[in-house]
Amino acid sequence: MGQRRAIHGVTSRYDEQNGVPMSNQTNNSAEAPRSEGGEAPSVEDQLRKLRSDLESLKAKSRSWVKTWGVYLGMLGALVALPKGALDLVTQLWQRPDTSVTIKNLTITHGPGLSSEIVEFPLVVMNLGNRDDVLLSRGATLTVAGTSVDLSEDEFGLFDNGTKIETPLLVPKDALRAYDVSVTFNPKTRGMAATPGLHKLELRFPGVNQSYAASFCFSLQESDVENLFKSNQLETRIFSTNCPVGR
Amino acid sequence: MNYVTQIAILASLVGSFSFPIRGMYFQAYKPPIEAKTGYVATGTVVHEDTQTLILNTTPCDDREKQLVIFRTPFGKKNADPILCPSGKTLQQTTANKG
Repeated sequence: MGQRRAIHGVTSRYDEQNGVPMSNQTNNSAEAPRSEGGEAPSVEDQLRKLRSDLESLKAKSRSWVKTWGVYLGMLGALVALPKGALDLVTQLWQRPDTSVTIKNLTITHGPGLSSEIVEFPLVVMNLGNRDDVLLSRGATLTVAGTSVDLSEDEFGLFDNGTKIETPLLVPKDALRAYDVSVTFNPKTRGMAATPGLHKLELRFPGVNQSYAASFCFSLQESDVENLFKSNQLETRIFSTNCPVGR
Repeated sequence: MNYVTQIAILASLVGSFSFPIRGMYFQAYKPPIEAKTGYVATGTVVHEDTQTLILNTTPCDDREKQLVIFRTPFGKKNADPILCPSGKTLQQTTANKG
């Protein structure tokens, strides 16, 4: 019977009768180098070693993935936990945060007009997490300590030229600018055309609370002459100047 | 019915009717539009002088007026008259801002 030995991919068989190796190898140049003293490790040993090396590499790789996985998980938790807490608070505590503001005001006088036109942008802002509603509107003009309420006809709210009525929805996270136009009747016009500090206060009762915006400006005698008695078209812009505590 | 009662009833009647009547005849102004270059508007002339022209572009609306203000330079020409639902016919002008 022939003995089979496999070394480095070469298979040899000894013929027992002739003692001549009967190699079926095709290329002798592939013969493996041998050490001087002992035999080369068997293929099984080498495979075992390879397998062991592979297992070791796999284990190391798994450990690296685990380590960075933990780091990433911790980072994710750091981001997710405060966000989750914030979301929970937002869900539990819903409220509107509405404000109304007037910054500038323009008075236009025209000789053919029955009244001066007072116009200004009204900025309505809701920074809360719940929609709000302005249920109605009201305005008061105060001049030299005398106050008069303006009727809804005298005080109009416009959005791109279209008159809008209350109740007015103020969506959450919304910022809207409306045009307000005030037209005086003979009584209020007489009051407005008086020198002194003028205060225009707008009130918008909401569901839970009332919102107000105030605008103050001073008129001198010369301003009254120019704005209310001129025979030409006059336009003047005022900035709010409310005294502290008013 | 004594004199004081009659006065009180009369005052309350006058008071309650005065608000709707005042509202009926009160004409409010929408925020006026300042004409910019290229603007064209047609309406009745509210005021005109050498420097400015004010047009009412909603002449048939007795409640609210929309004014358009033209400042020099601007051009103008006569437009077709408008017949309002109330039966009034109003002469209109077309202006354009140069």
